[in-house]
Amino acid sequence: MNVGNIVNLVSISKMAQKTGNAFRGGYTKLPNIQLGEKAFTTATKIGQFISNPVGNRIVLAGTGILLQPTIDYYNKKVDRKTREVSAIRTASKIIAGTGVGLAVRGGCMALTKNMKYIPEIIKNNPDKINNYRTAVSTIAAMAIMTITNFLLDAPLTTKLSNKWLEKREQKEQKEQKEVKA
Amino acid sequence: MNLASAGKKVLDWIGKTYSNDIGNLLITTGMLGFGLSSGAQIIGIAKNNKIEKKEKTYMINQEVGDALINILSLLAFGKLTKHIGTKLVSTGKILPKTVASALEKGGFGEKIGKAGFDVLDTAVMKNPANANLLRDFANCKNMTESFGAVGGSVLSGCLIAPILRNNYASYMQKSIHPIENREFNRIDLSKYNSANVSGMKI
Repeated sequence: MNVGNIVNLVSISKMAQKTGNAFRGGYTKLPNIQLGEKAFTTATKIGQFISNPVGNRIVLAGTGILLQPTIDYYNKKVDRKTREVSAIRTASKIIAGTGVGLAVRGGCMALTKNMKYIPEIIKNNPDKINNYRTAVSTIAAMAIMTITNFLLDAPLTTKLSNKWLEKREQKEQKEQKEVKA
Repeated sequence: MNLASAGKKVLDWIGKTYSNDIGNLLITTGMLGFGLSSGAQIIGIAKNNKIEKKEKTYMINQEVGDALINILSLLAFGKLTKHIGTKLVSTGKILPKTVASALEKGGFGEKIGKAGFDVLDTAVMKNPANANLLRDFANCKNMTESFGAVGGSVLSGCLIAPILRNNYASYMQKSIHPIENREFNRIDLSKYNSANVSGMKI
């Protein structure tokens, strides 16, 4: 290793140290948040809701239906028809997936809510029992959805998007007729 | 081993592995879900007769890209945002008032919220009499981790993955159907020009 390489290594490590110090300083300057009883209870409840299988699906579907078809529709790298078909199929996929997903996850949650078997190591901790139930229902829902993805989600997406595409085609034909007239 | 005892062993394992940390499970099942869902959708697109070949190529590649990018970005962002959630609580940046007050009384007020601080590594939290503080701390950590994991999923699944997968799919479509793409552009352009010409009444 020559002197130039050593100088480079030293300057890189100094730069990394400076970046680390700046990050630590910036982080420390951020205001501390102390949650009062009410705020803490509400935040914990929201946290539990978004981490349970149903709540998680609702959050992802809600933001997904707003953003994903819009992103597809404005993808200027493909022609107009491909963009429209793709946005329609994405929206159909989210609607079908959310419908089936909520039914499966909701069913699994209802089943695990009154589950009698609780592992010995968490028996005396209500918070851990809550997490355990969420975990069991999430894993059960995942197992069921390996089948419903193929048997329900995909065919439902195809049906929905085909209906939508038919309507789009009819509208396009009508517009073309009007232009010709 | 009969079925009931095998089932109990699985439930014991779930209890042991995930009762403390639900965030990791959300990320793992999220990744599996993306893979399975895309697999099913690819079969659905391939079987759909109402979609033209050129759009099929785009959408199949869109699904492949969706699964790959979703899994990768969920791994990167999900883990990163979950880690941020953990750090915010372990350094004391976000804490329940009960824990913060106890730490202040214990002489750690100055250190709360500093980058190298570890709430659990204090005499206050190590005191067996403060089990209720430990419970509040654990709940708070679980809450921020959940926010982090779900926030990461939303960011990766609804914003980053759709943009990247569309770029990938359009690149693939253009390389598989270069001639059709050129024809499409020409038709679109000619329509646009003729409409302009008739509009101007030359």
